[in-house]
Amino acid sequence: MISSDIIRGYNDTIILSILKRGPSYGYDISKIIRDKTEGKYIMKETTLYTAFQRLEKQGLIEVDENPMGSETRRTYYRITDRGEKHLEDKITEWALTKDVINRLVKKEN
Amino acid sequence: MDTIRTFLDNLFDTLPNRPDVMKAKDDLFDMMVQKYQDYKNEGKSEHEALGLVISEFGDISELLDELDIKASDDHVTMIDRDQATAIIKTYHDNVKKVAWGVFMIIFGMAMVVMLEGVVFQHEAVRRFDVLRSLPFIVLLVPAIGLFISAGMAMGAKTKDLEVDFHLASDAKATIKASSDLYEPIYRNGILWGVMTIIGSSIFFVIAALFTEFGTYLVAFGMIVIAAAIWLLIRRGVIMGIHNRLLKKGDHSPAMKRAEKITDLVAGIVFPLTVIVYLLISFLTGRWGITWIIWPIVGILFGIFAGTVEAIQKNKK
Repeated sequence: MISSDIIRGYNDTIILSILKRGPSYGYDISKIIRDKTEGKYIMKETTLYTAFQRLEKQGLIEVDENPMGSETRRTYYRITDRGEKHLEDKITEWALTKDVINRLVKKEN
Repeated sequence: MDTIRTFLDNLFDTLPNRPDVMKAKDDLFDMMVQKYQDYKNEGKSEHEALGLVISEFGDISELLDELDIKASDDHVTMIDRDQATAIIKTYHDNVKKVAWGVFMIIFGMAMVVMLEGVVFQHEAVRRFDVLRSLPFIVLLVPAIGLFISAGMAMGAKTKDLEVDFHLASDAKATIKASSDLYEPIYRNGILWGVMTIIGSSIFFVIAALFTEFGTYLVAFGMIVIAAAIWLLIRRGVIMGIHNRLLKKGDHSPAMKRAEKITDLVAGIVFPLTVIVYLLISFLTGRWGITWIIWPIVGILFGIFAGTVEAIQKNKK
């Protein structure tokens, strides 16, 4: 499992990226992360919920009031236009970061 | 599921009761329950699933930062076990001073009554009239000293209880055990104290019948009452601090308002009673009977406190 310290800076981007595919809720997002990474990264509940709060405050996501006619009280989130814009910037930044780190950090054989 | 509920209840116990905090708790509960079900569907045992859910929950402090709640929030003070036991110990040490102070004051009055009957019957000492109050004054001064010293020690220790406080769970367990141990001692003490006071009325009845020993019997009756009150104060105050820490009994805002009013009035009435008692006694010279002002004021004050409480509780 990956140390959450290293990945922390990208938690918000990961969540935005998942929400870009459609409105979702806490556990669903947590499960997508776990499944996609084959359990290599598990986002803690507190981290996820804190990220929701932060992203909502920044206007990057919003609570989806009536998600597909569902009757549950479960809180669904939806990415906003600002969120999509922010996500694009972050994806570009990540591509650049990955390239830079790859050039500098290599396993010597 | 109950384990998850309890886990969150404990974690959120000290946090302010705000809508956003309650929502966080609900949403986290929802996430944890689904994760738990999923782990179980994957074939994990109940125990394993719970262990994983709780270990993967994370650190509540990051959420508190985001919700702008400081861990030691202003609204709630945390009382740990050391602090709680220190409070109980301070009360044990200092309630003795209060009990002895009250005993001394009543004993002083009894001595005044006694002297009235013995010494001041003689014409020769009648001109030292002013000396009649001497036993009372001599004992009143150190008694007040004891009250101040005990009041300051206990007040300093219980400053944290003035605001909303929370007892840490190990502190709660310790105080609960100590309270259960004290309960029979308390009940016995109250029983003996009240029975003694009721029984002491016999001295006053006999005093009224046989006037030649009257003053001795009244003085003796007062000392017996003083001893009973000594016991009632000690047992009552120690039980009281246990209950206060465990938040037993009525702590509603109405009750707190009523207590504030009664405290304020007590602060005026009782010093005033001391002045009136001394004044009337000096002016009339009838020290043998003027002590009666104390039980009268005591009963009237009890009625007043009860009325204030009733009014405050009926008020919306």
